[in-house]
Amino acid sequence: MNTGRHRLIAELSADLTPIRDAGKTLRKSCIWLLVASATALLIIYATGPFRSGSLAQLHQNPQFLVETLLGIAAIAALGITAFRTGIPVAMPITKRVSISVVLLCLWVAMVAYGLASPALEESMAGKREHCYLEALLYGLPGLIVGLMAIRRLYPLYGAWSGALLGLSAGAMPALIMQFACMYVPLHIITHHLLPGMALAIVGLIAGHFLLRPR
Amino acid sequence: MMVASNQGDRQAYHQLLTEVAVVIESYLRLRFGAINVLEDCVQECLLALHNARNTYDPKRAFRPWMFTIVRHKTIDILRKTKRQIQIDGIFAGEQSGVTDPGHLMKLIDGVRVLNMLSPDHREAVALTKYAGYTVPEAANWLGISESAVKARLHRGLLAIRKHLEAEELPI
Repeated sequence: MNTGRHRLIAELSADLTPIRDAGKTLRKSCIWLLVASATALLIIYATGPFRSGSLAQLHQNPQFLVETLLGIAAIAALGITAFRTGIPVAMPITKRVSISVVLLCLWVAMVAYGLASPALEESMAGKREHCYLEALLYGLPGLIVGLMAIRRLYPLYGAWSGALLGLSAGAMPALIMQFACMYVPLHIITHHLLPGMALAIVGLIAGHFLLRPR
Repeated sequence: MMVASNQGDRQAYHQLLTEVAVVIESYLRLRFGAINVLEDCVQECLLALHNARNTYDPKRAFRPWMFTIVRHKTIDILRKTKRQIQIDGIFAGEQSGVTDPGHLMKLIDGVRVLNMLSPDHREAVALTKYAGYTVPEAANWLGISESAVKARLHRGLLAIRKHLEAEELPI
């Protein structure tokens, strides 16, 4: 055998340390989802009141409930997929992300459907002055923590991982704003969803530079 | 063996890497020919597997995980390498590449990954990566712009990656 290779194998073997949680990405992604969403929730709660009666509207209006559940499903799927892209798997990346992207599209489509037929009666009640900035900024802590966690894996498509993570992290405050800010579908799209989605671009760029296989 | 390695069994890990190195070498030799950067590729792949070992899920098969890393690492090395890639015994001794296009295509005929490519992509990859031409020289020879050569090279390497990904490998 080649001596250089022999030496490398000997060094790598000597350098070996036990790994306890090998491959457990689902658990890691669930922890991240909990931490990131709790962080966004706490910050939004600390910076202003929630719209009064917004939680009760979940029981009263099935469309609002479906809209919210789709949002939660999309966020969870995007986050889990982002972490899964940190695991080398013999499957094209486009196939791996398809389900989460479809869920996101369904959620956005559901909100857009509200333009024609709003889930709740449109109202300015609960309006927050800088909700577009809040939707953009409050996803950042989650994005940063997630990038650090995925960096410890082996992401082969850093930009994809970063973009998915950005979408998930950005969608969290956008979804919480459904309860904290006023309910007008156009306002939700332009002031909550779009700024939240902008984090995908931040994530894409950060992922491209930070998430490179070692 | 990988499970034992992740639990800290150094002997098992040493044996695993030794066996895997032979598999990787055969895999690359079959697809890229007996190129001079082959040993670099093997060692870089071993290092990558070592760094990625925390992502191995014991419930899944080992080989797809390993070959995914090997494919990406190899393409990465080919993309970044500034050295002329030589097929042992073919370009050795030729300092400035080959001058006859027909001769070059005949020489690289046995390189499986190049045969997977379209003629445009094959020319770009063969000239810049195998024959040692710089991008301006390749552009001059092909009678196209430098940016076109760069684009063909980029797409060619992407196509190689896609072809390798699509390959059915025994699990």
